[in-house]
Parts: sequence; C-alpha cells; structure tokens
Amino acid sequence: MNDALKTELFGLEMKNPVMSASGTFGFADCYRDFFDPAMMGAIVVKALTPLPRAGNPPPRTCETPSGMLNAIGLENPGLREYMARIAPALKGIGTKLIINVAGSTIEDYVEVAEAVEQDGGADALEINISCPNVKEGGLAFGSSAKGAAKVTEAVRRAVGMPIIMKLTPNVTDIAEVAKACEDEGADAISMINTLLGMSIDVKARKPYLANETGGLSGPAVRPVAVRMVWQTAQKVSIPIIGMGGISSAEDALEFMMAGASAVAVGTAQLADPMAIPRIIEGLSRYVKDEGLASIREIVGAACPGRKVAG
Amino acid sequence: MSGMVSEEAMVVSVADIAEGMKRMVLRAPSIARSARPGQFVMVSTEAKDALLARPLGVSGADPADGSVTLRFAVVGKGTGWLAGRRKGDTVRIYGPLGHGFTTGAKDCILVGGGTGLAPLFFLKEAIEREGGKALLLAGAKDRMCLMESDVLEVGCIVATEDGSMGELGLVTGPLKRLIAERRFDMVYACGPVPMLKAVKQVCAKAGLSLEVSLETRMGCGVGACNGCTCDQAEKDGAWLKVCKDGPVFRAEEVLR
Repeated sequence: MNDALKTELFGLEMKNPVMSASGTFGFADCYRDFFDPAMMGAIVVKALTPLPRAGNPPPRTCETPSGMLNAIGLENPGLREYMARIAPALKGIGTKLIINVAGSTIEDYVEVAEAVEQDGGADALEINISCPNVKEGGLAFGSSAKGAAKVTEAVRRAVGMPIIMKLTPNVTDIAEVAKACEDEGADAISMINTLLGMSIDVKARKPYLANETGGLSGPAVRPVAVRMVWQTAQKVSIPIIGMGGISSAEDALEFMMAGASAVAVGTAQLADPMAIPRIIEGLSRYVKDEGLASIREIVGAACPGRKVAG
Repeated sequence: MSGMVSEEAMVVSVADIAEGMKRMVLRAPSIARSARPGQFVMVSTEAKDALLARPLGVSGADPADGSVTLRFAVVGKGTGWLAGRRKGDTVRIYGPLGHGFTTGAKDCILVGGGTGLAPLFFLKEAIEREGGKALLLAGAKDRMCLMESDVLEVGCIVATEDGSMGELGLVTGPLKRLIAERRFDMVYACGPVPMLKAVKQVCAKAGLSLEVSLETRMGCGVGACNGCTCDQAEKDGAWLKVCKDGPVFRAEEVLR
C-alpha cells in the first residue's frame, strides 16, 4: 500500500482514490478470483431498490465505438434479499462500502437509505438520480436542479450517513444540478452516469437494444465527463467522484486534475478484470515518479477556478 | 465459479478448419489446468474501437502441455482481429468462465450446430477419457458452416440442409434415428436456438435429459454487468445470466 494514495472524502478515509462504478462490480462478488477488493479505495455496489427488479428484456448491451450501450434497467434482488443475504457477506470486505440507491419515487430512496443506515454495514450512500434506463424515477429526478434538490433534501432529512448524489450528463447544465444537491446537504457528487444513446441494427431495421435507448459508457464519453467535472468543480465545494471511461491511471489523473477527489472505474473493469488493480498500480507509480507526498496535490491542478478542496 | 485467471496467452498454432473458421491453440497453462467442457474464456482484442472482450467456448484444454484450443468463426471485429494473430503472438484471455456440461455420461449423443460444435470436441474428449461413449452429430446449413476438417478427423455424423456434406436435412433426422435404435443416457447440444428447441422436442419425446449451451453476446463474462440475461428464463425471480448461471443449462430451464 502506498500512503501517498490515501484519500479522504467527507471524513471517509480511503486507501486510494479508486472505486468501482455502480453496476459494474456486482455486490463485490464477481472479481474476487482476480484480486482482493480490499485493495480498492471503496466499493460501490450495484443499485438497490426497495423491491426486486427483473430489469429490461435482452438484448441489454451493445458495443459501440470505444464504448458500450447498456439498458440493464436496475436489475437487483431488492432490499429484503440484500439485507438477508448480501449485506452480511459484505461485512469485513476490508474497504469502504458505498451502496447505490435507486427508486421510482422519493419514498423509495428514503426507504432504502434508512434501511441501509440502520443495518450499519455501509459507509456512504450513492443516490442514483440518473439511470437512463427506467421509466420512472432515476432520470426524472436527476434531469432538473429542482428534482435533484427534492431527492437530496428528503434523503438528507432521513439519514445522517454521508450521501453522494450521482448525476446524469443528460442535462443542459450539470453544475447547476450539482449546486442544488450541495445546497440541500449532499456530501459529495458522483459524475457522470451514462449518456443516453441508441444503436440501430441495420439488418433488422430496428434499435439494437430491446429497451431501444441505452446509456453510453466507456472511453467514448471520457472527454464529456472530464469537461463536466471541470465545470462542476468550479461551482461546488463538496468533493467530486469522477467517472466516465476511465481505463488507465492517466485517465484517472485527467479527472483528478479536472477537480475530482476520487474516481470510479466501470466499463473498463467489465472489459478487463484486472483494470482496477492496474489503475491503482499506475497511480502509485505516478506519485512516486512525480515525487508527490500525496495524490491530493494534483486534485484540481488543471482547474484553477475550482472551489472543491483536495 | 472459481479459479478464474487472466493470462497472457501465446499463440502456438492457428489453422483454417473451413472457410472463415479457425482453430487456434494458445499456451495458457492456468486456464488449461482448470477448464471444463462447456466453459468459455473471454478474449481481449486490440481491434480498432473494440472495447469488450469476446466470449469463446473452450474447444480443448490439455493440462499436460498447458494448451487451450479455440475454434471459432470469423464474424466481426473481435474474431477478425483474433484470426489475424500468428504463432508467437500473445493474446490476453481470462477464464475459465461459467458452468460447463455435466460429464459422466456412459453413452451419449452430442449435437452441434455450426460453430456450436466448438465446445463439443472438448466434451467428447472428456467423456471418452472417463470411459463413456460419445457420438457426435454435426448439423449446418451447408458444408461451409461446418468445422469440416476437424469434424472429419474426429469422426461424426453430418447433416447439412443443402446436402453438400453428409446427409440432407436437419440434424434432428439422424438424432431421431439413433434414439430409436438404442437407449442413450444423455444428450448435449450447442448451436442456434431453433436447433436447440428442435433437439429438445426430440429428447423430451424420448425421455432423454438434455443439456444445452447457449451462445450470446456478453459484456463482462463474469456476472458483473447483467447484460447477457436469458430471454424470459427465471430462477427465484431473477433472470438467468448466460455467463454465470450458464452457458450450459438443463434444456427445460431456458427453452420453451
């Protein structure tokens, strides 16, 4: 372990700034053969809703140039199953645990958040107001500052544990949405969720995904994500967790220099089961080569107007 | 599922086994040691713009020399890139993944359609090594869709829809005939879904249990992305994932 990679987010001490992106790491059960998840800064598990969700019909994913579309539709076993079977298995995982919370209504978010706080096993909540693949909730809340504020306010009132608002890029001004979340007491911002997209099967003359539209992720979205982090870092002073196509340590550094205090790896992990350890290793080498006492020294290095603290 | 590893595999040989079909032998000792018939590996490609690894069924594995054999059709960017690798090149692969076939059959039939034959070569070897008998049936639209040279070498009954090789018609023809002739204890099948459904019907009528291996596009191969769900096949309220719950299933689990 490299002490120079130690990161602190809203009082949460992490070994390094690298986490999994929700929905790409299961409940930390998929990649154990490849590496010990304890090496990560934090684990963000897949979205949890009050009731089980079967998700969307297949096909659910589709590769696109330097990226992929997905329309999983928040498939998850629901709160009861999570508490009975999954939460106990996550105890003693050896690193920080962040639960991604989704819902169709504000009450859904509050219900899951309260249950997770009561259980006591998690370190923070990531509130998913940005899923593009469900008809209700998700994006409906996240696509306006007002909607985002409403959810933040309700969850903030319900729980004392740290809450991270996960934002959608499918808005005119993401920084404004982030600001609204900060004003209502969010502890951090996760950005960005996927960009709404579509791919058409020209042989079949119809959209490739059964859900028709899906969320675009992977290196294709990275410049958009970096720009959004950079803009948001100048508007809010709560920490930003940057994500969107991070596949290498250098990509992670881009986000951090744009103003992100931590990063999450998603699609790259799906494509390469060793992506997360490789990125952590790369950051470790970087701080050594650059002679940095702490990786935090580079947070916002390319964003002179940032308000967020390293 | 355990024992998955990511390996830098060296290409030992690559051969054409039909037009647009390749047999590639890789040196991947860890995967060779633990791979079971029906399991698959994910192959990372460096094809332009391609991001995701490609799932390919393990078509042979030899712990003694650390080799893993893949047989595949060149259908797109990923397999196109892979087909271009030469002896001595390296390819990153991870696996073995998924649940394989239940071996241990004493006298069984293996039904392969087109590229679905790939995992059955490995299954046949394993069953025969365990002292069982395994009869291979190969079906395809025409001889171009068969892994011709390997099919001939291993010895099997061939049926093509245009009669360009073996007998004319669907593979269910010889299957029905064989089942009528004597009692088998198991049938295994891999190929397109319409073929699997037809095989299922024949087996159900004869009271034979059938395991099928499904082919699909995948995101991660390890159950993380939830992308490769089976159409309407549920277990305990959740849709089955081809990569983790399969790719081998009991026919009645996934075929209607």
